[in-house]
Amino acid sequence: MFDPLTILANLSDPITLLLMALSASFGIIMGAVPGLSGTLGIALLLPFTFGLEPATALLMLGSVYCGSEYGGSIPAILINTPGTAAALCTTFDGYPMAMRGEAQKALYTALIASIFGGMFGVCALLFLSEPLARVCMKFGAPEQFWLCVFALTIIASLSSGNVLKGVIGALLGLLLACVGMDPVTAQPRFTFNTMELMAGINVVPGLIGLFAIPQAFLLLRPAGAGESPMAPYVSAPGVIWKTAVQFIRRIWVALLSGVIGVIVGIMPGAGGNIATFVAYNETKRLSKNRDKFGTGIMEGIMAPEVCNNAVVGGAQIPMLTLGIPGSAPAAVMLGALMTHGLKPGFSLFSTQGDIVYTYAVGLIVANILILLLGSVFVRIFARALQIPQHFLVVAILSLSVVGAYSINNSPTDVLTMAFCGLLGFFLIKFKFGVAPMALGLILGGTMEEGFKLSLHLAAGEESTWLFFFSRPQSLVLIALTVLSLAWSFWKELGPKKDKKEGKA
Amino acid sequence: MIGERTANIICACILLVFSLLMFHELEGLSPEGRIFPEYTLYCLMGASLLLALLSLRLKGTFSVFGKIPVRRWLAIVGLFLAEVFGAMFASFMASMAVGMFIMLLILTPKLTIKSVTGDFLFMAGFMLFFQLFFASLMHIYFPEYIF
Repeated sequence: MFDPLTILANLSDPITLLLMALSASFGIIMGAVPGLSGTLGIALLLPFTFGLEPATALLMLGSVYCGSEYGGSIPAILINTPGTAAALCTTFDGYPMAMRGEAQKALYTALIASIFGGMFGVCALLFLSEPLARVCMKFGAPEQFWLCVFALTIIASLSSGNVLKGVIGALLGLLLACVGMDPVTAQPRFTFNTMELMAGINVVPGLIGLFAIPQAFLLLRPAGAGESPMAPYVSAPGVIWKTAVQFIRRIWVALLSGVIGVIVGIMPGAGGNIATFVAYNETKRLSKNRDKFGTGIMEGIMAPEVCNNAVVGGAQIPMLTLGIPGSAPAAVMLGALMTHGLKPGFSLFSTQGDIVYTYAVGLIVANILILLLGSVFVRIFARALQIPQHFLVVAILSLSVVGAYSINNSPTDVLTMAFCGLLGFFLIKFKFGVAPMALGLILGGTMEEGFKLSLHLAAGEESTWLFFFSRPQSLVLIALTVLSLAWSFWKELGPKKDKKEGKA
Repeated sequence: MIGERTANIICACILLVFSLLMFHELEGLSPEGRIFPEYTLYCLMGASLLLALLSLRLKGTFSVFGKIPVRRWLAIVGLFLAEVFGAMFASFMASMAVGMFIMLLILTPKLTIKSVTGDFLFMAGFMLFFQLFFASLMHIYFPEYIF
């Protein structure tokens, strides 16, 4: 039952609020350090919550989850290295904005967008849980495959003017994702008969290598030798209010990305990583400033940040209503829920409504706490840009080693990170870029799994290939993919046509 | 400096050789295990060939290292790799400390007693952070085969 007084009583306890603030800070740090994640943060904090009331415990874990989603944007903006895979798209516009001396504006944009996204997701969780869960459970393996294909169309946006090199980068990423055991048949591939590669290439060390290491190597340029790859620090008092006003003027971006985040978040197996690509691509396609994407505009930060935080609420809809987690952190949250005696299902909201509604409303409070904490942290984080270049190079390289190791305590992950780092440096220098490869690496596993599971499901159908093209949900995604590609080609050919006409 | 055409053709050749090598790795697998990587490799080979063909009309030149001093780059990359291997297969703390300190000495613009002391303190601070945050708080224990 929804009892506002009980919820208010639970949430007005100062100890609960203090624990939530501490957990949110812990979550921000977990998201901001490449290699650590919200999933790890929740798992680490879980044992400390055993002695607490279920509502307080869940609020602490939920605060970590929300904080980590925001934290990933900080290194993405300041040093072009996503703290989490979902923050990859934030680098596209966040870092160029920081390079223009607007690091504080970029960080505040990410903060406001994260809070908006977080609240949007929680509102969906509160009011639309049941109908959304029923609709999204109709999405199966073929839709998982088509969603990845749709997300791959972002390559055309990422590598404007050099689409072929972008495609090659994405294909290399997909191949890298194939290393290790086949997700369905468990056959080892590309392992060169070594045990170390059996588990495959972990995405996060790959991303650390592709983004952080080339950035450190680019900083080896002596000071004063041309344009510095290090963002400058420029003090900007009062920028938070200006950013908030500009955010409201672009509210359609936030609403669109929020809807995408919630829908993709509900789909099991998809998660924030795919959702941010879709949101970035769709925002770019619909924006009047589409040519400015990638140069450091607010919309480019708003879209992925609103989206990956809306996923938090979205991923918890099937978790609470069906017991099916929509993302990795939601899976750990499901464990926490059951540990504290809550049994997920449609009846959860009626049988243990006090706890569930306190948790859902408490997530809104957690987001407000993150806004307050973040507005203090932004000033401190922006000061990181004043660290001398040689200290920063060594800090990035050392944290990359530690971050890559801390994911699985595996030396193979560290070697993967080093290999991807060197590869990433040359990919940048030979104008392939690292983002398409990262995209392939992130989507590869999910895409192949969706493809193969669909093949198995289609075995009972008349035609295997027709199975991919006959389901209405798949047809919607195929139509969106075709539209997205046609739009990109139209845009690519448009300027050339204009130039020719101009010459004539 | 290297011609853009030459660079792209070299890249395309490397990718083609890499694809052929990867095809060899797929031998003996069932069709189901092979289908996804095999088609990805076909696409990669096709895209590489297209890259080589389209590059034939390119003219400009570019520098791989740009304004980065090549010796400094090689020294730091070498040190980084030594640090990685040393940290993972010998002693994490010793390799990281030595690697970080030597890197700082190479990269510090002007070596004075003050700057070297600063470098040492920076390295010591980081090692302390690794120990306190990662090992003590997060229970992530680093490899230590020597000490």
